[in-house]
Amino acid sequence: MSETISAVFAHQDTAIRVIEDLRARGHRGIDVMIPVPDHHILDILPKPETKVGWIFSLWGGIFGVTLGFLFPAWAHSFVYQQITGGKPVITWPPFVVPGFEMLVLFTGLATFTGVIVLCRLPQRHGDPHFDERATEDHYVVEVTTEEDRVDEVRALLREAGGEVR
Amino acid sequence: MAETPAAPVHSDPPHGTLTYRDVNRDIVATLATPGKMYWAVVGLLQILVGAAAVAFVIQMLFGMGVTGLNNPVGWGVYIITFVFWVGIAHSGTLISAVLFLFRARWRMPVYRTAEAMTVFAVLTAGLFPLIHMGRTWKFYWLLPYPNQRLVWPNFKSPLMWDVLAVSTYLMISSLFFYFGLIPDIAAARDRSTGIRRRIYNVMCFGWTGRGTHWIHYRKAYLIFAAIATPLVVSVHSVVSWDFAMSIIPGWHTTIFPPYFVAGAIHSGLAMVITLLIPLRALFRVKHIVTLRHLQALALFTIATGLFVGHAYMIEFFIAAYSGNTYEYSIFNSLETGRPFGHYSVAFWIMAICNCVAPLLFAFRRIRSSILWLFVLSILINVGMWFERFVIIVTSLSTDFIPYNWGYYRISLVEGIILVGSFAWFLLQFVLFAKHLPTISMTEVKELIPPPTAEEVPE
Repeated sequence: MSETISAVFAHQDTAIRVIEDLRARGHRGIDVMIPVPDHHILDILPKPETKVGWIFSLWGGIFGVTLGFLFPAWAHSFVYQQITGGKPVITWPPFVVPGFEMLVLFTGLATFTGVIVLCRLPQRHGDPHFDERATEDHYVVEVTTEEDRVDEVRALLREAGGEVR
Repeated sequence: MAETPAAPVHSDPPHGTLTYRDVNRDIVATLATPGKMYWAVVGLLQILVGAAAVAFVIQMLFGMGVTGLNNPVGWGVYIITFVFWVGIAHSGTLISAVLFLFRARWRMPVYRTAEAMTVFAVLTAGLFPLIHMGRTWKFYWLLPYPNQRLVWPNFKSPLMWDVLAVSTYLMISSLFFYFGLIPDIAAARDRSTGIRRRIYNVMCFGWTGRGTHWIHYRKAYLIFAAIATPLVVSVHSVVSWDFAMSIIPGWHTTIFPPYFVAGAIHSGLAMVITLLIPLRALFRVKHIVTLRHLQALALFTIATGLFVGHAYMIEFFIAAYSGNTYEYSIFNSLETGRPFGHYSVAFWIMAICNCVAPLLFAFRRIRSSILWLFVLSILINVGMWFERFVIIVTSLSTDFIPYNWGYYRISLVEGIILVGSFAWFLLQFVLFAKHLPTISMTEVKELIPPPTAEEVPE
């Protein structure tokens, strides 16, 4: 059984030191709740990467640009041939515009969806470890650990000056 | 608000003594219950919007004859104002996306205002093609769907591109705007109570500022900025193709896309200055949006003003150099050329307001004066409206055959709708300013040092 403990810190540097300490002791389940995307903190978290770009944005973009070219080409050839100025039935230069617009549109929609999905938002009932001060100027450090190490973590957080809950 | 820390206006870095807590307090304070002055402004704006609605109903009942539109000038105030508002919309995404990619830190306190301006300007612009159509009840004919014979709209037409570009721009700029708002709505939620708190909680998807969420968020923000940057350039290029792909003299030029994009950014920057000056006074955030930020915007307009001026001169040069009679008559002829013809007043307003007025910002004393900043930014906006007037009306009124020439006068209905569009834009902005944080708390906090236990050496 693992348990989650959190502590609220008033200072950024204390929070950083605590996270480094915890990592040095081999804890992997560390997360924070912080007021700004502070790279000093985010970059020392156990998993600082995100797949939102590769999974969502990229495929959204590929879908969009394909749609933007193929759809007008289909509508202007198979459905009803709308020939303009004696040009070939399917002329790609004018479709650059729909292609580009759909590329941007679907990349954006997919990126937004990606963040919502990857963060498992919306959180309907809130987060039990959330502290309101975390959107202002406090730093919540949250550790998920084995039951037998709970006391050790608690002591460490308290010693560093955190409000342990 | 009396305890607001007295950060000196000219200090560098601009946010000398601010702390994270001050930022939250001062920006959430802008959302407090408004006073009588606010309601008076909202009421006045609603009256103006109502007047425009009445004018629109008159146009619906009596037809397009109530406007000044006729042959040969079939595009008038409505299309001019459409292009104007789409242009205004541009600097929002420029400031939020392009300057984000360039890591221009001065953008942080002003970008939310600019982004909000973008969304509201596109929403205002979007009304004008509908008003201009005449038979507005057929508006859905604009949407890309097949008719009864299953023929789709012509995707090779610039007008179709325009629909796609402007609606994509609306979607992406709204998403980008909302995305940036999420952490701030969460911060506002944690400092409010009751129903307001519940609404904010739904709007921010229950955001908690979790580290793993911030990691996704940070990356996604970068991707948004990266896709919005080429989008800014594309949208006004596409709008310019509405003109440039035709054969009307004065429109049919390859210079139009960069010329329109530069002009759009010029007017947008001026509009940001115009909006920020009253905003920072009314909401008491002068220590967050400092004079330095306004000066940075003002310096930017010098550059865009020079781009625009350069484009004007190139038009005259190419018209003369090409030897094309019709181009020559639109630009250089002493009888019908833009600086000398029937609309010469509009031309000179455009030239002086867009090219000469911003140059005054080169003087430190002028760009340090709020009054000058305000007046010049309004002049630039007036100039940019007249730019579209000059482009559209002079070219249409004197096209190829002198027998076909005509003179366009703005009718009362068109004038009221024009004024109403400004009221509509400002109304949206004023309502937004009391419901959502107009300055990004998160990004302002990134500018100031975080709370630390130990003294950090400067």
